[in-house]
Amino acid sequence: MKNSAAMLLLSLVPMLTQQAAVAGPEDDREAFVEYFQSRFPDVAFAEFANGIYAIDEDARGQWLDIEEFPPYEFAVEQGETLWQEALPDGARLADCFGQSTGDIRPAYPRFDAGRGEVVTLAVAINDCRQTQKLPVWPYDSEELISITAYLAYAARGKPVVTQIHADEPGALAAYEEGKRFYYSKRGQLNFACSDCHVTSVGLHVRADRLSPSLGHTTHFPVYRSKLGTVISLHQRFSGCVRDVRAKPFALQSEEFRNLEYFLSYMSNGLEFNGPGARK
Amino acid sequence: MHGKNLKFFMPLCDFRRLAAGIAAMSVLALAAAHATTDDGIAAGKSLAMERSKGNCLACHSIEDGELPGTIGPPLVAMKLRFPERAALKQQICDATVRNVDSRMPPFCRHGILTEDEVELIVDYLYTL
Amino acid sequence: MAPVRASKRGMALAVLAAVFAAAGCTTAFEQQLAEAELLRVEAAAAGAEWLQTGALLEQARDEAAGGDMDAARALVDKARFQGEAALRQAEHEASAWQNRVVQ
Repeated sequence: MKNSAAMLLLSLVPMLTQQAAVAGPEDDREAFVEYFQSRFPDVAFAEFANGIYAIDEDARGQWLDIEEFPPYEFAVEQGETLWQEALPDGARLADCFGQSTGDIRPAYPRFDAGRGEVVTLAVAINDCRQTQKLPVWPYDSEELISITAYLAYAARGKPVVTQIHADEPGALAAYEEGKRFYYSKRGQLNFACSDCHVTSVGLHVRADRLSPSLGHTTHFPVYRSKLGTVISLHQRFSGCVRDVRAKPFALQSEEFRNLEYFLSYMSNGLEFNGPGARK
Repeated sequence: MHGKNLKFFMPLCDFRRLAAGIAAMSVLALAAAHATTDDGIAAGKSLAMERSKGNCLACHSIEDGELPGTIGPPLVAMKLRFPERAALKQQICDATVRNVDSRMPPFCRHGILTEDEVELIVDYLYTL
Repeated sequence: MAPVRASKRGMALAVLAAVFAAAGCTTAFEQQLAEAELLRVEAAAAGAEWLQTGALLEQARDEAAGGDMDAARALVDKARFQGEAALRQAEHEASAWQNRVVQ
């Protein structure tokens, strides 16, 4: 009798955990926000868009100094030039996008039901190049990153509004894939993204403090002082994956696009504030 | 059952001698396996510090190590915290044995360090 | 699912490699190399390939081409170890990740 009751309970366990795994994105996001706010009770929600500067006073001081003469300004200007440039047939990149310039960045990443996959801003720009019969830009090219810097700048102050439509099962599946990626340990060093940016958030790895994942996507592309250049979110993903000694996925691979989709959703409600400046 | 077996074997050997002999052998074997030398401790220290090896400072503070991380506990009083050498070695080799959720890389299980390298690191850690 | 199949295939290859080696066949090394390469590919298919596995196999090929078979074999062993460990990691993470989700 006692045994069969225990067996029944045990058999319920997988059902319960399974149910927890498919809890809706909005439940996930609320729990995510609550976690970071309880870890840093003195930090206002909106501040998390500033990444590590939200929680580190010293770094924040240095950052504000850097922002006096923004090191990403050149990229923004170059991006604007490329954006306005008229092509031989008179078309412009802007022609591919229906929205006003400031509304383009917030429209991505989005799930494209027709293609059955997540489309990011970088992919959308290259799609546009293709429809205009122009060669696509490599995803680490200065041209492409500059344009995303310009569009990020134009969208400053707009809220993150990542959409997962309830009637689009593919969108939820892509989100779930991104979530699984985020929480899975990988590489020889055996770290999940969440091991550092959730569980150990704010602690030091040698001299560097681990930034909160809430707000991770709002400020890209980002000027990195140590590299002396502006890098994309996917280049940062690649660096993190390499740091845990796993083989990085390609920039704009399905894995990284799904991860971006998940992380962007987690940052819903924060403001876009790219491009950013980091060590 | 057991008693019967014991009685059967009893006349065949002197248990006290046997026990003493085994104890002596294992002491010798242990001494041979972990002959801690100054060179060994120095080698263990450099393995602990090297970024491509132990890289302990990434997460733990260690005596004179500069800019230590704060993710793991400071490496102090190691003999007190790990009286058993095997427990300390296991913690480095695969910390998930003791704590499933450990964020410490499983150094032996993932081939980041060899068991011999971990022995040297343990020698060094016991000086802290 | 994939890792289980992979380990079975890996085991079959290991037996094959052992047979080749026991028979003193010159292709034993190539067999071991192919086996380690297969493990790497299986790990990649599971999205779990480690950073240095491919480079270890490259170096092994270079050493073999240069005639240092001991060095080549040691590198293949390392790559094989990494492929197996990466597959075990992927298999474990297939469910373990759910315990880390912020609740």
